[in-house]
Amino acid sequence: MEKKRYERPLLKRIVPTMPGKTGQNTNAVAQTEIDGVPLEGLRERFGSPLFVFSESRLRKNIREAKQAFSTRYPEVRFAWSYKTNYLNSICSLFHEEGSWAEVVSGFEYDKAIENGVASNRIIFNGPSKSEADLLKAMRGDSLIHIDNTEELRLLTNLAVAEGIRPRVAIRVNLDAGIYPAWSRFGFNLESGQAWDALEKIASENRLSCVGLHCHIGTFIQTVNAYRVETEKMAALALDAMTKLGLPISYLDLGGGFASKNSLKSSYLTGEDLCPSFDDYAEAITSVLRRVKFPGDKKMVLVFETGRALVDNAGFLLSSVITNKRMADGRLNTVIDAGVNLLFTSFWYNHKVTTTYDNVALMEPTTLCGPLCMNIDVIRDNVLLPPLKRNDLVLIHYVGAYNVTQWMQFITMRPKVVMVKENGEVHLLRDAETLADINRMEH
Amino acid sequence: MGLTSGMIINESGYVFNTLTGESFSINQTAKTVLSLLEQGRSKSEIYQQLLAEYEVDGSSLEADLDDFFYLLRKFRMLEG
Repeated sequence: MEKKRYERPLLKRIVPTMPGKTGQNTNAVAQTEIDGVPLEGLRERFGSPLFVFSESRLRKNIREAKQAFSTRYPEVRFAWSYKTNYLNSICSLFHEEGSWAEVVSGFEYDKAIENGVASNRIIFNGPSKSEADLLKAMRGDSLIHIDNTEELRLLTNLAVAEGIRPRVAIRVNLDAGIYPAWSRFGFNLESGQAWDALEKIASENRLSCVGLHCHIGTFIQTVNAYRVETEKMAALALDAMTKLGLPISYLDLGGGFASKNSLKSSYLTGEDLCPSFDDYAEAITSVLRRVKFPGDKKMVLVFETGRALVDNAGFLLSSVITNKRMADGRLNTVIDAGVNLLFTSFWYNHKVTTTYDNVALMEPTTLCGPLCMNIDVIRDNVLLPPLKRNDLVLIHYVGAYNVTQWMQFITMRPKVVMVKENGEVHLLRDAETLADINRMEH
Repeated sequence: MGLTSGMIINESGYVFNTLTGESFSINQTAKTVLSLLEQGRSKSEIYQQLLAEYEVDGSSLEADLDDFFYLLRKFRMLEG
């Protein structure tokens, strides 16, 4: 006799509450594949947990972003933000699509060089460049974005000693009408620090200040902040060109575009709330189109957006280890991927799907990782169908920051694969082993 | 061990406990378990029957039944 499909017995108390304004679909919607490749097959071949990237989503994202800006403004350049995801295959894909590299450390700089990026197409940001970093970048004719006065002084001295005139921008922070206002990086605009730095550069005449840079923050959900940023940066560029004679040719407006992830503090989901590339592009370019720079010069617009280009292209495939009932009655489902792999679970309510379709009765569940740490919680409270050991769980929107900020802690970091547009699956990174960990110890 | 009297279980998976005034939703497997309890079957008999009827391994079923019976006790649905 053929056995029946099993579903864990489920008893859910009906708690009368006030009706909410927004309903939610409580039926499970299964996801059993990524770009046509079955999840079960991925687990069999590469193990669990497993990071999976979609080539088609990555290419679609960067093409959409470029189209949104280039159809509104003639000179737009994207530079791939290495810290968001510096797996070489991911970086190389963005470089293939025309993106330059935006790096914030000597390590990232070297990675970009090894990925074949011409050194004069590397933007060097970050608050902690060493003397060696600066020498390397100025000898490579990279664009050095100066963060502070001491760095300006060091770079100027090196330029004199080396007889090189490095191409630089200053990093500017400003009030774009959002909270928190990021004022930690670069020179402040409103207090006059940014102007002082530009005056020094102009009067000393050792550096070629070809750009201005500003990064107003991260996961910015209001496009008006970019409108304000653009207005202020365009005005500063105009002044720097006309009053100081600086050869400003580009405005780097940073990154910070939100992905469709859902912030923990948010009532609605990111899919409902977050602006599109078109929304951001319209806010920014509508300001710049009105500004007249000397000689009708068209300022090049540079973006270093990372999260919005990669987040939805990354998935974390995981397997259920067990279900446990807590003393207060809550259900804990333990999976084999923990917060050491998913740093972003501290910020987001990541979307979670299973392979169960159309299950009407779901249970509020705390989704935990396998670490022997109380903080190892992927989702505090998520409605899931009744899961059993070895069931697959897919965590969405994990492409940004996780494979750079992940930790080897209690468990090893797992394999990373990419589903190619032709349906092949390529291994991007091997799983760590004990030998890898021990190799660095003496 | 059996279900307390005063439990109303309908076909669509709605359960009402007249002793406590609480209502519950249950899925098909839970309905089968409650039905077997109503017939006076023991926990180990229920385990054996489900193991024979469903695609499930013994250790998962044991853990799931332990959890389910914990909830039945917590919501005062079990006698004895």
